[in-house]
Amino acid sequence: MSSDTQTGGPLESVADGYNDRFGHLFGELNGPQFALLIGSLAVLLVAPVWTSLLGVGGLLRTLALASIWAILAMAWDIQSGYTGYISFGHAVLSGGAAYTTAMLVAHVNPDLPFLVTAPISVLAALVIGLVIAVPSLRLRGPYFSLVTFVAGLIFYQLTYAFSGYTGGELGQRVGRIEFELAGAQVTTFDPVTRYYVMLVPMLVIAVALLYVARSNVGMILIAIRENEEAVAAAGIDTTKFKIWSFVLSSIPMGVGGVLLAHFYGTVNPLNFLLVDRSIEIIAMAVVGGMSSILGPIGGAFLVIVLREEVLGVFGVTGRWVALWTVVLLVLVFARDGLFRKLWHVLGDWGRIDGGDDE
Amino acid sequence: MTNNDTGIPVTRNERKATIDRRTFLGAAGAGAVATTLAGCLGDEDDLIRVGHIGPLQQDMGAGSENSAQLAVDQLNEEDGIMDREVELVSADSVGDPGEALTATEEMVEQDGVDVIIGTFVTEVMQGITDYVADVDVPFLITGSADPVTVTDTVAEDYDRFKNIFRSGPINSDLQAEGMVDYAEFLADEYGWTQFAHIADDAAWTEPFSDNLPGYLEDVGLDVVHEDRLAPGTDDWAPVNSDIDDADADAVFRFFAHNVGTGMLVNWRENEYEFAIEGIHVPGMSPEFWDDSEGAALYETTSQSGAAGAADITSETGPFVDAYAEEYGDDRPSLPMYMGFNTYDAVFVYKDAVERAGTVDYQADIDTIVDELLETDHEGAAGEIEFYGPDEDYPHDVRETTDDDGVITNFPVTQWQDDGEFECVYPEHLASADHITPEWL
Repeated sequence: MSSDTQTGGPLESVADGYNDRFGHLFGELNGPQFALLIGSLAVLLVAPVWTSLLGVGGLLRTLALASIWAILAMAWDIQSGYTGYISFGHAVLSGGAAYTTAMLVAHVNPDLPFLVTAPISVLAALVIGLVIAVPSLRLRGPYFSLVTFVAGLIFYQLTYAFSGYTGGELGQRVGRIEFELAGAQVTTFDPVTRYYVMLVPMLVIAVALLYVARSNVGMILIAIRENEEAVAAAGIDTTKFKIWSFVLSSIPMGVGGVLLAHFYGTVNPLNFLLVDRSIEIIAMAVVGGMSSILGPIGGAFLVIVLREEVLGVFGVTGRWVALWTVVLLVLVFARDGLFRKLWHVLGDWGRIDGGDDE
Repeated sequence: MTNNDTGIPVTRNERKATIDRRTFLGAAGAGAVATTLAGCLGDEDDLIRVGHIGPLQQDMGAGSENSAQLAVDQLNEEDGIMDREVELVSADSVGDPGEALTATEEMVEQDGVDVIIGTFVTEVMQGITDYVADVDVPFLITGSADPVTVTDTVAEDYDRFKNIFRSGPINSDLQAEGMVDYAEFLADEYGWTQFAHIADDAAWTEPFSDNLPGYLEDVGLDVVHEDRLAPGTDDWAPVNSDIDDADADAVFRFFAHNVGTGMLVNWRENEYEFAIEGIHVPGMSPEFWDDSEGAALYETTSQSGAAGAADITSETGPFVDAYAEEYGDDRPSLPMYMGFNTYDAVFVYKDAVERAGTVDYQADIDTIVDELLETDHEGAAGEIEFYGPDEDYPHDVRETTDDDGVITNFPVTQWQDDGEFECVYPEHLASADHITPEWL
């Protein structure tokens, strides 16, 4: 199953080189799959160049936003997609982190540096995640989903109930990201810098989650989804692993929440805690392909680019109708997700090409 | 050849891609490419672009957009701005701060607007404030009235937020003061002394909830009932019966999120003996009479511009007529308060940049700000002057007062017989007397 048996072209040999070194960590690839990954990565990494060449500088903003949502979609995936315990309230985690940043800036010290507020906010997301996970993950079936959904409603209303602290519907301004890196001032005011500040964490989180997903932990999470009784019968504490999945999910959710807070510059209930936001995260993961980590990234980029750049032809509100129709069509006709389909097509193609990937 | 780093707008076809002076392209290659492109394609066109943003799906935003277009058309019939043709670039905020920020960035970076006018929903204004401050584009607020708009920004960090102004309406701290003047007028007129106060449970009503009851007590009037209502209230029976139980002569209600139609219907059915006053944003729409099937009768609301029912200045009538001629068959058939303020803002901007001799905000924002501060404009909604940098509400439009110190640029309108908007206060502007239902 590894490189020695393969007889493909140069693409295959590069892919084999990867498989030898990293295949056991992140999963093995055939040539076309490898090409897709490296190609996408290259396109993303040099996006400032080609967007400016093509005169579509505004696309850079959309890609930055898509990077943040990709983080959220992946984070949802490692918990809900892998364990099958579907969370309808994940925006609570990102929103919790965003509101932590906002409250620190508003009520502690407006000059707190990003490098202080960000870790505290991610920690807050983790705490909120545990508070929701510990009691609710003992529940089965729809009850877990309902608990997460209701948690979302509670957090949304809390922002109004404590509007003296949270600013109610107005929210709280948090400004942009500014920090020093190796002596250079980094600020997300500049569109190119902003793009990389959003892209790099997304890539790091993708690698980390892929590693976890392909590890034994990931295998147990999938096993829980497929047959929780069997996992329990094997002497594994499934609740512990489900809580782990929530922890694994909460941290990137927190990172995504913090980035989104500074991307918008304002933290408010509408853009952060409304239940729609949770559903959007799910839609992205499902469109891309649940329980694959890479699928949700593709889903997030597809959904955000469609919403911001393509579906605008249907008008400002009509594009939402169009977008949800697209999601519905994917659910009906490509339930496993568009990018999983693409992945498998590439897998087959590689085989016909001469590479036998398994 | 134009150069990005100096911030001179670069043009590509008809859309301008403006890159701010503080912006530098991180990737050197990208920078070189963009500069080359700009050099090849760039020849700055002569248009002045007025950016407008508002909730275009709502009457308020649509009326504002129409008014902006009207102002731009009128300018183009004359000499434009600085003898250059003017173009309107309008964007829909959808009342969503995130969407609005996207739209604003596009207007500034792709369309290359020279000024941004609008924002009705305060959270939208809040959402784009930091960005607008960073790029220095002149920003004239014409819809949202929350004082934090200037007190949290211009007053806090003048140098950063100096490009933000509000040309109307007067902020809600001042509106609360205006409301007290109006309460005294009602007290004189009818002998009403007991008032109830209910408001949307939303940040925009806080200046009223925080101040108005105290102000009323200060002038010897009683506040007998106070309540806040969650947005989306649909059962009005307990609301009205509480006001009635408290023996209020009139209720000041402040609704933008809630639509008061249900309240009016329930009030009429029970013939409750209190009048309905205050601010009702949905009720400001000229279509509200039909939308509410006449239930609007007797309700009042404050609104700048007085829905065109009063000749506030010599500009009011001609503006309303021109609007009716152009858009009278559309919805909204009147500009609504944001329309008045938006229309005025276009001219305020024109006058200021012509005095400044420049629209180049990236290079000359200080000059433009200085000239905006010099504004003394007779607008359709009233006389427009701004508070100075060191005052309580820097860059906010000043309230105008009469000889008795009564605020005059926040008039009150009432729905009267046959669905007519009448201006009932202040008295020197009134087009009709304030009326009360026969059961009162």
